[in-house]
Amino acid sequence: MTRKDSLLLHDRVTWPAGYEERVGALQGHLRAAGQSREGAGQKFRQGPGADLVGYRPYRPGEDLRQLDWNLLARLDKPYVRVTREEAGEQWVICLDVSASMGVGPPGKLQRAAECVVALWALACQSRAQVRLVLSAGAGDAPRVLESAAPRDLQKPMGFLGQTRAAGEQGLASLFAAPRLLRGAARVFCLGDLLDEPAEGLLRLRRGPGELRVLQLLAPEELDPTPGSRHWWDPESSQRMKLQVGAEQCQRYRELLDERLETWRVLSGKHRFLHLASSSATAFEDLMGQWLRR
Amino acid sequence: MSWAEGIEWTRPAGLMLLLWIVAIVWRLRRKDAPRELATGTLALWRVVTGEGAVVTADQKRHVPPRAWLWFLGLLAGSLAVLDPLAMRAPTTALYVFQMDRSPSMYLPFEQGGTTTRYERALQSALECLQTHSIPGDAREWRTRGQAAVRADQPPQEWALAPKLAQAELSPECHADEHLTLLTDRSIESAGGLIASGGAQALGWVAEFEGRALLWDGLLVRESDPLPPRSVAPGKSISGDLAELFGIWARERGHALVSAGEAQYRYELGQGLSGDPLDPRVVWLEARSTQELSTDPAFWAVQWAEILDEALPVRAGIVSLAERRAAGTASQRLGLPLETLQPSPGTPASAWLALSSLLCALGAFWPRSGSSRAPIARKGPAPGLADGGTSL
Repeated sequence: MTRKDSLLLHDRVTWPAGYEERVGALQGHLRAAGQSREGAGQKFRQGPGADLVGYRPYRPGEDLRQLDWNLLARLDKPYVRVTREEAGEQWVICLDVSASMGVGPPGKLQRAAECVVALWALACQSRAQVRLVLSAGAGDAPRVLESAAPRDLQKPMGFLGQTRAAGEQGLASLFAAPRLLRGAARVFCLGDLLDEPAEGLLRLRRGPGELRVLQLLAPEELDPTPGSRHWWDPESSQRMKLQVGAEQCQRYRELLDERLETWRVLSGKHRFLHLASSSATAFEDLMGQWLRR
Repeated sequence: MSWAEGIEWTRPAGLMLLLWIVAIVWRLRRKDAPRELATGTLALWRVVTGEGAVVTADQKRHVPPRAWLWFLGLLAGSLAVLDPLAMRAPTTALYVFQMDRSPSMYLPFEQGGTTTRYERALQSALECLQTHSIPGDAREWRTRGQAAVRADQPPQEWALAPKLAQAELSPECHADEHLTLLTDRSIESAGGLIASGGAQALGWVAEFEGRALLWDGLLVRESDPLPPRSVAPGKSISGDLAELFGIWARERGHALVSAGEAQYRYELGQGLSGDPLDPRVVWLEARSTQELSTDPAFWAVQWAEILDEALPVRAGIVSLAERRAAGTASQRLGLPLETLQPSPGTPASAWLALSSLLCALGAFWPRSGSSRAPIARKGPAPGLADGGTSL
């Protein structure tokens, strides 16, 4: 093990005891929350399907077949039909496994992997097909786990358990391979979105499906504390020694807020859902905030 | 030789205090050491600190002067507790020999032989030194009435019997473990001893009324009358003393001749050992002459005794006790003297304690009120666009 590897202490995924039970509880909780808000409907499951659940304003680039021509004629405004998905919907979960995801504690990859398996479980519940795509990381190409019968959580857990945060290739390596995302009704992207080109995500948004982005940052990245620091970037291997003062911490937070705000602006403009949070947040809370919005 | 070998610690157990200091320093370093953290936002920090900033002089780990003072104070205090004694630069070992130059030492070691007991003892001492000492060790030779000599061997003239017979070694020499006695008879109480031993030496043992007493190993017999010895008063002897000298010479059977022809010329002066340049001169001790009585009769008796004692024993006459066998040889080298001694200078512990006090005062002196200056930046932080954002 090299020195570089030894410093990245949170580059692997370990499943906490009782994790599967917690995922089951989360499923029930989300279902109940969805029913209380929308009756029989589940908001995060809206998408192309046969059951009409309502209308919403048309967004440029959307499939014109979903346009309700009657409303357009009556109101002179374009609305599309919002339907409940049917079994067979394709979900694609994109996970960044570049080295920066090994930053912690708690490790960003650890928390993201917990969310991924929870999403997998929700896909089971929705009878959707799931494709889990890991960024290339330190490898040559993205890795894919696809299951036609995704009820077995052991499969994604084993797959992620063998994954290690390494390399420089993040979500951008997935956006460069659009075939992996083809036909997806919903795309979930999990990563730290640091140094990720936004164009790739925005290209995803041009499709008909739904895009949800979860941006995870380590507590030290979100809210640094003053003191002596010796930072190390696991992707570029660059180092920086610094005596951090309160003033510099404040300046850092301002810069980070600017970046997060940029993502928020982009998400509003291009109508995808973006949530930035700390890896210290429990995956149940993350999923609750991410999927209920 | 390292400097530490020249220091003797009065309380070596105090070295444990240094472990405490090491532990404290280690703890401080751990506390002050920057935590090496992986981060994915290094680009942001670059923007905050200035592009390309890695480590500047101001950003290096800064150990405040107070911490240094505190550390130095602890170190000095600990060393003061140890109470070091600086030693002189150590030199080689010094072997000290006390030479016995009594008449027995100049008797033959073996009957009919030519080697004296002195020569034999000295030879044994040199052999013993060759075995036990290392090159560079110093040797000091002492004898009664002479200044000590530091040399590889004693002076050559010591191999000859002194004109006036010396007494045996003083008892106080025996117990000194750093002193090696060179003599002929074994002395149990001696710290170091090189005894030559030796067989009995037959010969004259005394002179009595102009005849020598000869010891043949069993009996003492009188010899034929001995030739008279010629004496003369020196220039320093005049007046009543010169007249007394003539009476004394006549009564003792000595021939009173002129100073140039005399076997022994008497002079008033210092010391009893005689003039080393002229062995014929017999010096009368001035101190004794000043203590003479003012009674003319007693004065004459006292002077007669002084003149008797000053006259050297006739060559070849050695007391019977000294002519007896000296037993077997014995060798026991005394301990060498270590020249490593505490220096008599100012005690180092006092200075160390004072230094510790001053350091402690400096470390805990109230601050003047100004806090540490903020970390200097190389330049103004560039904007977000310059920070390499990919958005």
